[in-house]
Amino acid sequence: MAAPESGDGNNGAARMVTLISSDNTRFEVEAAAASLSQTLQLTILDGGGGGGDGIPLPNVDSATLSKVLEYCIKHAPAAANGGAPNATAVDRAELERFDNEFVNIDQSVLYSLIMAAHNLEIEGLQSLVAKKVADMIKGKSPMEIRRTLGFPDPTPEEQAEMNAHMLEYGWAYE
Amino acid sequence: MNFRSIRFPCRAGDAPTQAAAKVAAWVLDDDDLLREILLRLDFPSCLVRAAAVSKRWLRHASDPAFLRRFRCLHPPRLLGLYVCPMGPISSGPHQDLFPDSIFVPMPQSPAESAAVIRRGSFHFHLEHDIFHNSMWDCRNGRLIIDSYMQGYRGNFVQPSASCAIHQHHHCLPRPRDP
Repeated sequence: MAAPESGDGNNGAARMVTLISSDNTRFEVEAAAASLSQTLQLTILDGGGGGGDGIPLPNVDSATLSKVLEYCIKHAPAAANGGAPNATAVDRAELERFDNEFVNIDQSVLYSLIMAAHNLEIEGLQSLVAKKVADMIKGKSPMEIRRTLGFPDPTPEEQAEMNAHMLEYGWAYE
Repeated sequence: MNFRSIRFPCRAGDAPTQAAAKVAAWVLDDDDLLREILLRLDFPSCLVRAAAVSKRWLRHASDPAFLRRFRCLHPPRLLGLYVCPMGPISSGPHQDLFPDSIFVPMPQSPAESAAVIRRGSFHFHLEHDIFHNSMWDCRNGRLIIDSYMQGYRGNFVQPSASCAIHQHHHCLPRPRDP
């Protein structure tokens, strides 16, 4: 895994931790990047994940974990700086560009990512993917939202409820 | 009645594969994640439409704690303002009458707001005994209006609350003199 360019403020040598995906793939990553996960942060602070041990993540497969870590590595320097104070407009624009491209992925990967971000408590990533899913359903009618998300067709009762809702809240359906 | 699904046809790329639909159902079954997604719909009108997707979505979208977070993240937008003329009309058949407040929509409103403005009713019907409406205040999407009315014991002011979007109109009790 590529090391982040800067931002590990504590000491020169970046501490590495090993994460193990559900399909037993090992990922070695800087502790600072893994610590973006609130769940992992506690384990890492307790000294876990170093040496040959590794932290098992039984709910995250390797494809999703590599994507999660790509996000964490990119965002770790900014997070280490406490978010904003030292970040220049260029840095922020670069992160924004990265985020936009990052979520430009297949729907199934998107959902796996948000689930992983939720389980690992990576707030920024969860928020980013939630925004992307929200953007997918924005501007659509309830029926189109159901189709976009692959819901089964509504029952006649559900359809009748949708129609009644549309009549009551006509202003939202312009 | 046909449901209005013709206006925004689904793009081909939008249809999820069977696998994606399975993961989507798994994700959207999680109440926390569903709320996080609904929270990021930018406009109240998007939230209202999403609320119609299912009963469960409606329950989350109308939960007071959720709505507080939604309003925090997306503060209410100004749809427009009322221009209230200061004096009576100086000539013509309506001489000495006060002209009504005029609604002016905000220029360059985002499309979602513009649609709400088109649909709302911002010009109030004058009852035959009301000769002037004056805007007092605006709170929580409702307008406080003073209607100057002609009564058999002289003219009086009837305050009322109106919601231009839902087109509700309620008379309010007159506040007591301090």
